[in-house]
Amino acid sequence: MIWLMWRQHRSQAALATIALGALAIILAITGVHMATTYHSALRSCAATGTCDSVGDGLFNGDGAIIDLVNFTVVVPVLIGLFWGAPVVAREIEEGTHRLIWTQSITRRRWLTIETITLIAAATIVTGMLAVAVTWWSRTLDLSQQNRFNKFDIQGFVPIAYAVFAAALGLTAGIVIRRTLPALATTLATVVGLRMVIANYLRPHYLAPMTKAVPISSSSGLTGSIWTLSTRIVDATGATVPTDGIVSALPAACRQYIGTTRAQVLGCLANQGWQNKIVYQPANRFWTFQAIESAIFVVLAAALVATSFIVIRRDA
Amino acid sequence: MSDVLAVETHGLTKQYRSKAALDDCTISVPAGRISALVGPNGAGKTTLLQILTGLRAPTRGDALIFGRAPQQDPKFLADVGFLAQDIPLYKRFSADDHIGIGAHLNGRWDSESTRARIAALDIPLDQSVGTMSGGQRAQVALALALAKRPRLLLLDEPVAALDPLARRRFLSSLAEAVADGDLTVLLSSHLVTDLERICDHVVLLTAAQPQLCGDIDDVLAEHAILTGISRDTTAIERDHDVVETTTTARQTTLVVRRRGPLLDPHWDIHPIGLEELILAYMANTTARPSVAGLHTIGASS
Repeated sequence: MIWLMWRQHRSQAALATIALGALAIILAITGVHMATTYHSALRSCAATGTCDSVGDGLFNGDGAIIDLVNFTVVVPVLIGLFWGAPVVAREIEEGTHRLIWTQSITRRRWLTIETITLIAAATIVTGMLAVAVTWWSRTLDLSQQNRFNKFDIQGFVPIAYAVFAAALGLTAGIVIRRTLPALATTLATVVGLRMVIANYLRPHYLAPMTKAVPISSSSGLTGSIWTLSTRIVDATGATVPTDGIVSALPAACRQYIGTTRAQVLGCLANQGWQNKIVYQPANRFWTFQAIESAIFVVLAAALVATSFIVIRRDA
Repeated sequence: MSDVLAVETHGLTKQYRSKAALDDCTISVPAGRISALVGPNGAGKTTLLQILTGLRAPTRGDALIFGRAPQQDPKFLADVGFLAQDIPLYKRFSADDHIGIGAHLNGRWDSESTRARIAALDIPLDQSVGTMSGGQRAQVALALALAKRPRLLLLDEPVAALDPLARRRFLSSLAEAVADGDLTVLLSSHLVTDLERICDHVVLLTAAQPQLCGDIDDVLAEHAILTGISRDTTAIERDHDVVETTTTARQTTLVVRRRGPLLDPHWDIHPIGLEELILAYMANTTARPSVAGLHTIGASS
């Protein structure tokens, strides 16, 4: 059976190996180069005291490679489309399910081995990819200090996405029985669900933290926090609506209207106005990775269970 | 012959939405026979075969293969070989690849004689099956179905797409394989002349129901063609089942299933051939012998 899997999928395995190898080489070269650039910039900025903004524009010339790395977000989707969806749908389309399911192996056992191979391949490929991308992103994470921006391509969530997409493709193929519609369903579902979870669920995995900082300071919070929202509050703690801010200015500060922004902000700070920042702190990065991975792995398990039920119906 | 039944169904029914593909189908095929499953397109032949393999589940009724219901169990699956109508094979794989796949998926598998069987037909073992002719593909698929050494081999219109020569080669390969071992075959087709040469048992399905089921010799002995100038068939219809009536200006021809001796002197009695008999039943699907009647033919052997 393993032999059959290898015989059927060896060209895909070769393709994946070549693509991963090429990417690894590109990332190794550029990763080392970017780290060197960053560390030498750190040494020179220490002399001039400008290290706060050392990352700004440092890697502007590396846009193409940064785009390439960001683009690896599609890899789990591709695995679901081209590895997951055809597993059963293609057999049914070609009629070979009637060949394979009438050998002396139960459908359940056949599907077990197919599923394990698929999930293992998805895990290995996206695992190696995530390790490479996470290692490569180190310099950017340090210099730009916002790791949550690259949440989807780092750590272990890419593996969970791939396992989910593969399981979805597999199940869609069994239910729909045709490759192309199964593929389209997988694409729409993976993209839709990922967007919904990233935008509406992920910010609330843990209750966000709130911090008030003087309105005059630029951000007041350092480290790679994930800012969910900022609003202005007055001395009583009431939110100042941004569109009516001029009329809401306290009398003491009205005289500064028409002067510099810094003078207005300085006055407001004296009046007790603050920026209230709602955020997820940097040290929650790995907790969030674990929570999001768990969500997708549980969904994947439910899909696989469904596929084992549906496979029993008439062939 | 032994009384062991390779295939036995009772009231087998398969409903697809509003249409019944099989309706109360009760048949039996004794072990060791090569049985022809005949009937017009859409009569339910494929559905019956797929239920027997376990690929489909019946809506009602039972099917038994050597006494066991089709099930997802390696022992059951090992006993039943199946060749589907579209001759499914992995197009990019060679015959040798398929033999390798079979060896990995079956406990009982005969790689060596399968290679020999394919090579003896001058079919290259290392050529991808997608580039083979229909006849070669069918031969490879048959060899693979036999390699499993099943006790029951179910073939769904395996020769439908083949030219006459390929058809004859295929059927003689099959006949040789059956002669070699302890194998029961149920082979569906609508090409009766091809089947007559190798089959010794027949199951006729029309409109989702069995019309005939029994050893071909018994079935033919039980039917006769009557010719006469009389157009009055009431006497015959009282004593026998008339399957088909053909009337021309000069004479009337009847195909009857006898319920007793045919003694009426008004009619000349002629033996009937399998093809004529099957065509008569297909032409007149309202002549429906009772299910109990079907059984007596099979059991009388």
